[in-house]
Amino acid sequence: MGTRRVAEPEIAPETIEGCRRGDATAQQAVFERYRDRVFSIALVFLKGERAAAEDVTQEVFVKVFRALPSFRLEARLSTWLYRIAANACLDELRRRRRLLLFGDLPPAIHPAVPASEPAEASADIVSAVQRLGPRLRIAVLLRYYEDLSYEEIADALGTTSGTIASRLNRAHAILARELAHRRPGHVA
Amino acid sequence: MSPELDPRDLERLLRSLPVTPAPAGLWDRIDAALHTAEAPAPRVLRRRVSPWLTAAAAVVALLLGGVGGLLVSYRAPARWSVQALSGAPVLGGVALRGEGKLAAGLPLVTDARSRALLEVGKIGRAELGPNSQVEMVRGGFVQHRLSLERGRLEVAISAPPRLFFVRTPAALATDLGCAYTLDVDSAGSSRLHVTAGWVELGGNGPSAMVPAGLVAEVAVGGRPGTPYPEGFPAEARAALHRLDDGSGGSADLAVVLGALHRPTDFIVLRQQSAITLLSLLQRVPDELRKPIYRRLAALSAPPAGVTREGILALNRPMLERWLRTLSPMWSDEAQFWWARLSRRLWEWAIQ
Repeated sequence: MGTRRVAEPEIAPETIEGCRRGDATAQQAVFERYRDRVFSIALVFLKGERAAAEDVTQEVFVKVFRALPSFRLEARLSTWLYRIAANACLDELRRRRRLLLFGDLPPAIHPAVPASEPAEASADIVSAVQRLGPRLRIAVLLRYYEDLSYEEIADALGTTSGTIASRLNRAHAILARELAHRRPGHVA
Repeated sequence: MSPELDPRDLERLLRSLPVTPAPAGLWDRIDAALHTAEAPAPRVLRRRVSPWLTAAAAVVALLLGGVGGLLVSYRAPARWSVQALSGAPVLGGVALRGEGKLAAGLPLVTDARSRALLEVGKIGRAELGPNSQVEMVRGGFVQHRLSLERGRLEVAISAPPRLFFVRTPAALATDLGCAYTLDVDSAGSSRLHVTAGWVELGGNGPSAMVPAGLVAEVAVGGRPGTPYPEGFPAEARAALHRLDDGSGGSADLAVVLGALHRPTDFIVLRQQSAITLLSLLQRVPDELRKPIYRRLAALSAPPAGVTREGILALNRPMLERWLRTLSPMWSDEAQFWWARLSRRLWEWAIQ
């Protein structure tokens, strides 16, 4: 069963500095702060495949801690981390497409592990988001999981805020239709 | 009521997306990975190439590939096969028995009883008639150039325009995808008879575009004459020459008009005569243009936007529009800018 998001403060500069020095305690503190959100993004983006989402989450934190010495302190760690997470998700999707192109793997990389079922109360929302195209999907996840601004999402995805606004508009229009049954007073 | 969810309700729902706890033991895996030999630094700030840039690069690559393919396909070989068709043509001073190779600087000469067949690279064939002399001229990368000093050359080329050229003492015939016969007399004057497609005939002055079914002549040092239909009588040809050089008058024009095709003739023949008249119109004084226009309009109705006054005043766009209705290949100026640019690029590439 999932838990609800709560706003969290940024990581303290001394913790980031500890990570840069390779302090395992500081690294674990950063991991604890962001692990559930990164995992949730990967899980929804990869349509509930837990094992793949775990791999992506691990890859994200390994990249973050290895690249932290080159991280600019004036930037927000969370934005930077979500940029890496978004790229890792999109890379995973591209990798799957390449593999499928050669026909040597089924769509699920880890078919032995069952897909994670979202909580029943929000299953239709998650399912609607998962049906979005990858670029719309990742924009929605960064916007509503992490509450990133259009500029931060644009920075994370390497595009412009105008493009992000356009993608979110399209995503909203699709989701508004898909979730029409959620209208107050709607009778199926 | 709208069948869609209200934006505020949608935002509320999206903000309630569940956060799923990461599985236990994930930190141990990360910690272990961090303590293994470090992989090369990841490119975490990768910047993706713009799709527009990618598309533009793909278009450029296609264009270059296409031009490159054409260049390779039509590359002019250094030596062309020659075959004696009759008698004993002389190649480079040696009598040709059977087959030989024509190279730059080697003249191929026939006498009154001999003929020879030339393979023009990979783009066509040319047959050298009796009492003729031809020589290969080294051209550009894909350009095939011959020099016809005297006699007759019958040519059939299947290639993009401007890959095959024949130089005579009086003219330069540029192939535009065609078949033709070129005759050079003892004075060096040249006579071009096009049997398929188009040929550009250049001399001293503006070139003439000669379509199938027409004949054009050019004397040494002169400009190409008005193209006239095949089978034009000798007196009509003489009258046309006088009109071309400015010495002709209304009597000459009457002879020419009398020899041209009539409005009751087949359309292809009418168009051939119409092209003759459109060319002639631009070479005669004002007072001779009106009867030419009347006959021209009777052979081929002027297209929309073309007026009598405009044609009589030699309005260039109107002349070209009319020529274009007679043949879409007539005028370079009538083409779109990108077609002209493509032609310039092609000509530059094959030089």
